[in-house]
Amino acid sequence: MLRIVHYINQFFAGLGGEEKADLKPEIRTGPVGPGRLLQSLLRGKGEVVATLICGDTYFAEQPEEACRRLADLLFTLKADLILAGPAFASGRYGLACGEVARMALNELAIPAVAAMHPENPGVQAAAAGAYIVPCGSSAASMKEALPPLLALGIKLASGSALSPDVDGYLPRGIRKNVTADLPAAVRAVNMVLAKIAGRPFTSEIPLPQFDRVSPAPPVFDIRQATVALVTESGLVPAGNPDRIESSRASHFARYSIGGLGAFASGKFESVHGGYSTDLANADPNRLVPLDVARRLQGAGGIAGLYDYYFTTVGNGTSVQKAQAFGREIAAEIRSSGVKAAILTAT
Amino acid sequence: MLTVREHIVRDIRIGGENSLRDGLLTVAAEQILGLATHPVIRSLELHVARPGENVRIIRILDAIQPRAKEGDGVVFPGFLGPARVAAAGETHILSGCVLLTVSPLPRAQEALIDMAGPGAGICPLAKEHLLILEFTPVEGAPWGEYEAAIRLAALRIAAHVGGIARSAPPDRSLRVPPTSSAIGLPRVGYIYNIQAQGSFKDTFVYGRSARDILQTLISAGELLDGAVVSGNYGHPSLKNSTYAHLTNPIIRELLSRDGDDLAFGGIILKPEPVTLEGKELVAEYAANLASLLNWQGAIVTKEGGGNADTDLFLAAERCERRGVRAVLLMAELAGPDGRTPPLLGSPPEADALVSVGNYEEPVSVPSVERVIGGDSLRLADGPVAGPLTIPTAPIFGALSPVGIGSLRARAQ
Repeated sequence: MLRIVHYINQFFAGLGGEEKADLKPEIRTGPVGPGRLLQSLLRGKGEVVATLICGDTYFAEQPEEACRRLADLLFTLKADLILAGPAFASGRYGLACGEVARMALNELAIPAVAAMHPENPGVQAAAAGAYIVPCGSSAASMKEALPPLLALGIKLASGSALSPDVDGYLPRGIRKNVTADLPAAVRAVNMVLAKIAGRPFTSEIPLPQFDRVSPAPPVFDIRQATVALVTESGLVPAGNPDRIESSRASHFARYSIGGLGAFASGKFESVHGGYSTDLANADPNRLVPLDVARRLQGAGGIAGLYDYYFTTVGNGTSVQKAQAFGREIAAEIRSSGVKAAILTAT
Repeated sequence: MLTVREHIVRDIRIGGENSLRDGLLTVAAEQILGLATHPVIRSLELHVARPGENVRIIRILDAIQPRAKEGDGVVFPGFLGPARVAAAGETHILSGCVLLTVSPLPRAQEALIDMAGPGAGICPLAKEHLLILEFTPVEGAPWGEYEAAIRLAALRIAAHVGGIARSAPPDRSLRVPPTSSAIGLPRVGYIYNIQAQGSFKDTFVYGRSARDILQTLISAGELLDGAVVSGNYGHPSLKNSTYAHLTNPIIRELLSRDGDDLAFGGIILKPEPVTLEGKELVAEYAANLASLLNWQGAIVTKEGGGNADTDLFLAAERCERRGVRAVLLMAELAGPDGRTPPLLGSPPEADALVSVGNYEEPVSVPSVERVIGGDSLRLADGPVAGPLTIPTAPIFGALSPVGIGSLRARAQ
C-alpha cells in the first residue's frame, strides 16, 4: 500500500485565509481538504497517511526554515510519495508546493509531485528538478487537477521511466540516456519521410537557445593596455604538470610567461586530443601567439602581457564547464587590471 | 548485384581446425598468428569474450566483422587485393561475431567494453561474440608503421575467418542491388560523413586515406565488401569503426524499405575537412550531388566530436536550401547531469534531429573478474578491474553516429 503524504496551505486546510498565512508547519493524520478527494481517487491503491500544512506567508518568508521543519515532520512517516497542491494560480502557494516537491525529491529522495497553473511562479522549481503537473488557474478545476497529479505520483513512486512528452509534466531541463524503443535508423527514416510529406514530426533534441554574449566595449587605447593570452588549445608545459585531460577537460591551468619571449618547442606541448599536435608542438607559438605579442609589446603596440597565460582543452568540453572556466579566468584578469584578452581556439 | 550470405555465429572456440558448424565457429590459432608476422609486431595474443561473460576489454582500436568473397574476389579491396570495385558475386559475412583489435597506441582515446552488467547494456559490441586480437609492438617501432601493420593484419584475419564460412550453409541471404528501381516513391539518400584528418584519425576508401578527397558516390555493396575501413582512434563512442561501416544500420534500413515506402537514392561518402572553407565546400558539393540525384530527403550522419557537428549542420543547411529535406543523427553534450544545452549551436535548417544519447552521462560499472588489453586505465584512477564510474563517451560504439547503439537521450 502506497503511503502518501499530502502538502497543502492553511486555506485549503480550512484554517483560514490571509490572517492565518503565517502558520508554522504542522501535521495532521490522514487526509484534509482536497486530500479527501485524493483518498477517494486512490481506490485501495494507497492511503493518504498524513497531511502537512504550512501558511503561505510563513513559507515565503523563510523557505529554508519551512523546508527544514517539514523534513523533520516527514522523518518518521515513511512516505512513499509526496503530493503538493494543487496550487492553481496562487503564487506563494505555488512557490511552496514547488519547493516542497523539489526538496523531497532532491534532498530526501522521496518521490514527489506538485500541481499548479503553468504560469504560476512556483514552476521555477521544475528547472531545479521538481516534477510539476500543470492544472487550471482556480480551485474550480480541482476535480480535473487531482487525477493527473495522482497518476504521475503513482508512476514516479513505482520507479518507471518518465518523460514530459509522455507523462505531461513540465520540462525539468534534464536529459537522460534511455534505451530507444526503435533503432535510430528507423526513427531517422520515419522522420525524413514525414518531413518530405509535410507531416508533423518532432525533433528528438530541442534546438538550442544560446546566451548571446555582448561584446565588451572597445579598448580605449590598446597601446596602454595589458593583454592576457587565453587558449583552449591544450598548450601546457612539457609533462602536463596539472594533468589537463585531452578530452572533456575538468579544469584549466595558468602558467607563467613572465620573462619568456616565445614558447620553445620541447618545453611546451599540446595535450589536446582533437587534432594532430605535430605542427603545434614544433612551434607552440602558433597555438598561443606569444612571439608576436612580445614583438608588438617591444614596438609599443600594447603596454604588456599579463604574467600568466590560461589554458584548457576544448574537446568535448561541456558548455557548463566552459562557462565556469571563463568566469574564473575573467575574474582573475579583470581584478589584475587586464584590459583585453586574446583567445585562441583550435 | 551483390548477394550477401549471412552466417550467424553463436559461439567461438580457438582450436586446431577451422570450421563453422551449427553456429559454432572454430578457428585454428596458428594460421591466424601466421597472418600477423611483421617486423614491427612483437606478438599477437588471441582471446575470446562472449556476451554475458564477466570480462572487461580495454585499449580497443577497431572492430571488424569477418567476411570473405565466394570465388576469386577480395574483401577490403585496396588492402587485401587490387582496389577494384566489386559489389558483385557473393559475400559471406559472419554475424554475431566480431574481431577486436586491441593494442597500446599513442593518442588513441581510451575505449572500453564490459561484456556483462550496465556497461554491456549500452554497448553494441557486448552483444557479439568477440575474437580479440591483442597486439604488442616491438620496442622502438615507429607508431605509424605499427598502426598500419596491425590494421592490415586484422583485415587479413577478418578475411581468413570469413573464409571459414564458405563451406557452410548460410542462415540468411540478401540481395543488394547497386541502385534502386523503385518508382513513384520519395527518393531518400544518405550523406555519410567520415572523419579523415590523417594519421590515427583517418578513414580509408579502397585503401587510400580519404583526407583530401571530395565526396563521392558509393554503393551499399561496396561498403559490405569492405571498401571503407577505419583508422580512427579518437572518440570511441562517436567514431565509425570498420564494424560500423560494414554493418551501417542507416544503409540497411534504406535498403530494406526501398520499394516499400521510399526509393533508396544512394550514398554520398563525404569527408569532414578541418577548415571551415573545406567544410563549406563539401557541404555545398554534397547538397549539389543530392539535388542532381533528385533526392527529396537525406539522412546525414557524422563521425567524431563537436568539430563534426559543423559538418552535419552545414550539410543540413545546404540541402534544405536546395529543397532536400534533411534529418541528422546527433550525440548530445548535455553535461554529466543532463542539464547543459545539448547542442553546440545550429542553423534553423537543422530542425530534424535524432538523438543517439548524451556523451557525458556517467555510467557506473561493477568490478570484473578478467581484463583483456592492459593492466592500467587512463580514464579513471584505481584498479583496471575495479568498479568504475565513467562517462558514456569511452564505451565503444555506445553513441554511434550511424546508429549501431541503442541509446537516445530524453527529457526527464
